[in-house]
Formats: sequence, structure tokens, C-alpha cells
Amino acid sequence: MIDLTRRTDAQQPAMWPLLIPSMLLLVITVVSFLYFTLDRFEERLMPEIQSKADGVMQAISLRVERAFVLGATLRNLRGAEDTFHDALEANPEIVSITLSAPDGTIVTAVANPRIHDTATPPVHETRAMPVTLAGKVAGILTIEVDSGYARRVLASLMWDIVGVLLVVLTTAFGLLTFIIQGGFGTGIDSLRSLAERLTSEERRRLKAALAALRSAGRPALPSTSPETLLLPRLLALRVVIFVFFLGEEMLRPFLPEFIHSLAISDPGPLTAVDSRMMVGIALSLFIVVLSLVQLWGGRWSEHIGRMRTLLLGVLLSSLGMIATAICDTLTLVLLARGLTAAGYGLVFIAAQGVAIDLTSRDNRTTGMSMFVGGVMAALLVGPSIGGLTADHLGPRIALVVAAAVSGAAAILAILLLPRTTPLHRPENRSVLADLQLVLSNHRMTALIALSAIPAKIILNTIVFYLVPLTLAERGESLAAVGRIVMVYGLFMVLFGGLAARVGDRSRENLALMVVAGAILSGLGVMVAGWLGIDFWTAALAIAALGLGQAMSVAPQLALVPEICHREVEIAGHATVLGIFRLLERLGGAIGPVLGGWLAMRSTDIAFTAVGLGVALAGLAYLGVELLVRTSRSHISN
Amino acid sequence: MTLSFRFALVMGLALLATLGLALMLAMTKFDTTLHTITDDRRQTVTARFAGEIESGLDIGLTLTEFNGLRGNIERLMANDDELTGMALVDADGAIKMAVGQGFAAGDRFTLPADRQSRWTTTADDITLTGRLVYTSYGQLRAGVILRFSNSGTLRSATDLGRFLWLVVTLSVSLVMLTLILIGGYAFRPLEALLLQASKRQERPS
Repeated sequence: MIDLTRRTDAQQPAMWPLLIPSMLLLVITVVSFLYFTLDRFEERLMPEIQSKADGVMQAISLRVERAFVLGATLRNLRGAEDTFHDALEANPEIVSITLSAPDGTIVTAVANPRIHDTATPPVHETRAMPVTLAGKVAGILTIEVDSGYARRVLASLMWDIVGVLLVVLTTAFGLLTFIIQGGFGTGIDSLRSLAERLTSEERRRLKAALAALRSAGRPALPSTSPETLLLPRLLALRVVIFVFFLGEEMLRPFLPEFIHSLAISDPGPLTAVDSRMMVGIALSLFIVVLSLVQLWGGRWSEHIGRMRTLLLGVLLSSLGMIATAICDTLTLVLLARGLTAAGYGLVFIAAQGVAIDLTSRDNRTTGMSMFVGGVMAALLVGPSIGGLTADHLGPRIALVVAAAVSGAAAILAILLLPRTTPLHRPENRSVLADLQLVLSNHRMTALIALSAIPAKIILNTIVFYLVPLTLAERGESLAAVGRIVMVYGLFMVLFGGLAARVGDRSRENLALMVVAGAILSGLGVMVAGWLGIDFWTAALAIAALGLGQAMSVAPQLALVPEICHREVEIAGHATVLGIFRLLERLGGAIGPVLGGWLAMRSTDIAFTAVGLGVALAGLAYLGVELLVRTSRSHISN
Repeated sequence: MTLSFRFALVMGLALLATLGLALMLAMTKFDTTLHTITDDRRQTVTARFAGEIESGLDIGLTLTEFNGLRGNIERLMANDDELTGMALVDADGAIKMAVGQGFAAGDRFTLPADRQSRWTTTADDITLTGRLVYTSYGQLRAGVILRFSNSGTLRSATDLGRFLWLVVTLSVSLVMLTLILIGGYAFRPLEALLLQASKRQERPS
């Protein structure tokens, strides 16, 4: 029998050798196109700029000539410098204006400070005209035009386009994984059923083809194990999850500012609440509704079916977003956000349920990693594209676009997702009993209170609330805010997997990784607050937070079964993890309200206080772990 | 549909989305920049004439006596295809002198209600740029209105947009073709075997 079952460790990375040159080709094409476009734009704009500079020169010349007529001379020409300054202020593409005597002696010269402050000196194009008095040349007016002005203006789009490229490449990568793995899966299904009919010569050729693929680093074949045949279905689930969550992630960069502006313009019965605090309450409300739906919706989803729950969730979520877009009072927007949260919670439950139904205990981690992969990919690309959409089309239209994106998940679900039968879960313990059981473990309580909750507080306060709101208030474009928020997802995606692998290898250091992550994220945010929040310090805070949480999130989850042996035996791994998740969400609900309360004093204080609090909580958790380890070593001695 | 074609299709769509969005963003920025520069240039020309009128009024000329201005405008119109007309109006908006198209002496023009010293209005492919002329005591004396045709600017921007969309289409097609070749090379051995296996399945055993 041909060995089709030899599975590469990670099938996605096996696609890289094919994908990297293709992606590179795409990037080169985009960059070349942009340069070509900038050249064409410059070619078209430059004559206009020159013509405008000529107009400015003629206007100045006329004023100088009038002054000459009134008796002024080059030596006693007053106000020329102010006139030149005014002209430079109104015409950013002019580098300098000089008035000189016919012999070339400079009388007045003024340079544009905005251009001279830039790091790269502009390429000048000089234009000159005589100033006459009674038909004789009385002076020479010279204007230097910044010939790179058009390029400079259009280059400000570069980051927007890089954001678009990143979004598109991530989406393409996800789709390719689905198509190629799905394609192989189908092919292998047919191959497996026919394997016995292959002649020995064909088997030899197949082996050679596989060997050639592996040695050339082309896509490796998945195995025919049930886990591999399951892969296309899980990938389909990931596509659905990605598309749905992309809609909500698109709102991250502009929703806080959108709610803030409503809280100022039309607070309704909530006039007494501070507008910044109101944003925090709105964000917290979302998490509270989401948690409640998740808490009580699980069994209901098993009762009515995963697909129905998912479709209902998508419908509610999209309707909520559209309602948010059309409502113009804060109260209605809060209700609409509650509707979106309910839908979000239902989709979360249903999608998680499909992953559980499709997998067995042995391959559940693969299923859940597909689920998390979809959410993370959305977190990576959503903010950037959402900010860009809001920047160009306005937040209300961006909300409708996000609703359409989330709504598309329903169509994809109908087309791609298999109908699953919910696994029967025994009717056993109540949530309260589970909660009591988990919290009776003091190490677990410490992990939740000192690590998991603070991690959610800092994430929801800084990344999803204060950074978008503060940067928008400081006049940053929503596209720029989206790119900054995206940095968090980028670090999580880049370093999360690595941290998980390191944690798997050295399980005794899991707690240390959790502590290091908390301290890193806390210190990063604290230092940013201490320096004062602007674009770059916000980027520093988010990068430190992303890196810190990439280090600590996976080890945190891995620690749960390590420190809850007894509880896992009694209530099961899923239940203990569920309680951990539920309590962790408390942080998500507390964070924005706490952030809002602190931000009423000062944003910098809010950053510093939250960062310091998280770093101290991390140190406290380290203390608890050290105490536990010391007492254990005493007992064993 | 072969794997290589599906691969190329996804990558081609990704490229089309990126280039399409990038071009749309760039064209929006280009249009804004072009309009800003053009409006500023036109305002500079209008300001120059407003300055000339201010000087003339200062030395005691009346609004109907600016004959030199007519010559200047006509010279400028000969050099600038976009400038199609000029009107000099009094404080009530009555046209005292008109050159070129769009204005007739004796007509009345509605000056901005808020008396802002400069303004620009655009309707269809015509832009009017205006400047008000005040005395040194702040009393409104006159207004200069220049009429510009935008058809050249619009056509040029549209032509550029069309040309760049053509470049996008060509780039996407070329990249897709390249990827079909790369994908075909990568997937060929496996696809051949899958095809053979499928054919065998169709045959009775």
C-alpha cells in the first residue's frame, strides 16, 4: 500500500515554498504599479503646480511694482518678507521666494519652514521673472518649486495601500489553504478508494511524485487519516469564522470615537454620564451581553441545531450593525450594540460547537486551533480595512459595510459548512457548582485574578478603547488608527504560535512566561503613558501589549489543566476552561469602564495606571507561584 | 477546474483587489490634490485682478473705466484654455464689465451672502472664482469673477484613470498567467495521477 498517510507536521507551512514566490510576485507587482502611478500623477500635476507658482510670482511681482510706483526702492521695501511668508503659507509646494537686485544681490529671501523641516530635502525647480519699473528691470523675483510635491502628497497613501495589501494577502492565504487543502482532500478521498486498483507502476510514479513534491518543497500531501480528511471541513469553518469576525473587527478603530461623538451630541437620558465614560460603558455592555448569551446559549444551540444558531447569530449581529449605523441617539446605539453582541455570542457558540462536533477528543486541539486561527486572522486584518473604510466613506457607511461582510458569513456557512449533530453532553453540574469547584483551587484563582483578568482589562482598555479614541481625538486618520490597532493582531499572529511551542517544550516555565508577558505588556503601556500618548507612544504600547500577550495567552491556557488536575477530573477539561474563559471576560467588561473612569482624569494617567496595575498583578502572580513551588519543595524534602 | 488554475484565480483576485483599491484611493487623492492646486491657481489669478482693480479704484477710476483690464484678460484667455470669461461687478452684484463667455453687461450676479472675500462655486464643468474688493475702511466696492471651464481637467483625470485601470488589468492578467505556469509545474504530477485514478474509477472493474 502506498504510504499516503505520512503527515507533515504542519500542512500550511508546507505550502510556503509555493506561496512565498507567488506572494513576492504580488508584492513586486503592487510596488511597481504604485511607482508607475506616482510617476503618471506627478507628470499630470507638475504643470498645474508650475502654473500656480507662476501665478503667485506674478501676483507678488505686481505688488512689488506697485510699491516701486509709490516710491519704494529695493533698499527700503517694507513688508516684502511678510508678503513672502503669507504666500509660502498658502502654497505648500513653494520652497522659497527670493527678491534680488538686477546684479544678483539678494534683497529678501524667505524659505518655507514646512518643507525645510522634512528629513529629505526637496528637489527644486527654479522659476524667475523680472520686476519692472517704467519698462526697466528693477529687480528679479525667483521662486523655487518643490518638484517632488505631488509625489510627497500621494505617498501619504502608501501606508493605506500597505494595509490593503496585508489584508488581501492574509485573505488570499486563507482561501488558498482552503482551496488547495480542500482540493487535495477530495483528490485523496478518491485516491484512497482507488489505491488498491493502482498498478505497481502507478504506485511507483505516485511515490516519485510525492517525493519530488517534498524535496521541492511544494505542497505536501495531507494524510488519509480521519484527521486529515476532516481538514477541509475545519478549513471551511475557519473561512466562515474569519468572514464573520472580520465584520466586528472592522469596527475597532472607529467605534469608540463614533460612540463618543454621539455621547456628546445626543446623550439622551444619559446626559449625566461623562462622554468618555459612556464609551467605556458601551464597550463593557457588549462583553456583558456576549458573556450572558454564551453562558446560557450553549445548550439552546444544541437544541435548535448549530446551523440555525449560527444563521440567527449572523442575522442579529448584522442587523445590530445596520441599526448602529442608522440610529442617531446614544440610547438606540447602545441597544443596537446589545443586539450585535447577542448575535456575536450565538455565532461564537455555534462555531465553537461545530468545531467540537466535527472533532473527537484526540483532534479537538486541531479543531479549536482552526477556530482561533479564523478569529486571529480577522483581528489582524479587520482594524486596518475598517479604519480605511471609515476614513474614506465615513463611520456609518463603514458600519453597513461591516454588516455586509459579517452577513456574507451566513451565505458561506450555508454553502460550505457540514450539518453536524451536536454531541450529547450529559446534564450534570450547574454553572455555580462548577464555579465554586474551580475557585476552590487557589492557584487557579490566582491565575484568573492576577493574570487572566488583568490581561483582558489591559487589552480592552488600551487596544479597543483608549488608543482608537485618543488617536482619533488627536486628529489621526481612522486608517492610521486601524493600522495601529492591527499591530496587536500582527504580534499575536507572529509570536503567539512560537510562544505556544516554547511553552509545550518547557511546561515548568509556563507560569514564568505568563508573568513575563504580563510585565512586558504592563511596562510597555505604563512607559507609553509616562511619555505622553501620541501616535508613536500608542504604537509602542500596542506593540508591547501584543508581544506580551503573545507570550502569555497560550501558556495561560496551557496552565489551566496543569494546575487543575482534580477539577478537570471532576468537571472535565472543557468545563474548567469554560469557567476560566467566563471569569476572564470579567476583565473585558471591567476594563473599558475602568479606562473610562481613569481617562476622565487624563489619558496618560489611564495608560500609566492600567500598565502599572497589570505589571504589579504579574509580579504578584509570580510571588504566588514561587510560594507554591517553595512549599512543594519543602514538602518533598 | 485544475488546482493550478484555482491557485492563479485566487492570487489574481487578490492582486485585482489590492490594485483596484490602491488605484481608487490614489485616484481620490489625485483628484483632491488636482482640484486644490487648480482652485488655488485660479484664486491666485483672480486675486491678481482684484489687486489691479483695487489700485485703479484707489486712484479714482470708476468700474466702467478699466479698459486696460479687458486687454489683460483677453491676453490671459489666449494663453489659458480653461479661462473662458471675466466679470467685474459693483457692490450690488450688477455686472459693469464682462469679457468672454458666460457674463453679459447689465446682468446681475448674486454675491455671497456672508461677504467672504474669496469664493469658488462649481456647477457641471464650470467653476466661478470670485474676489471681493473693499476700501481701506472695509466698505465693499466691487467684485471680480472669473469663469473657468473644467472639461479639460475632468477629461485629463478620466483619461488617466482609464489608462491606469488598463494597466491594472494587464498586470493582473500577466501575473495570473505566470501563476498558472508556476502552479501547473508544481501540481502537474499529482493532478495527472488523480486524473488517471478518476478515469479508472469510471471504468467497470
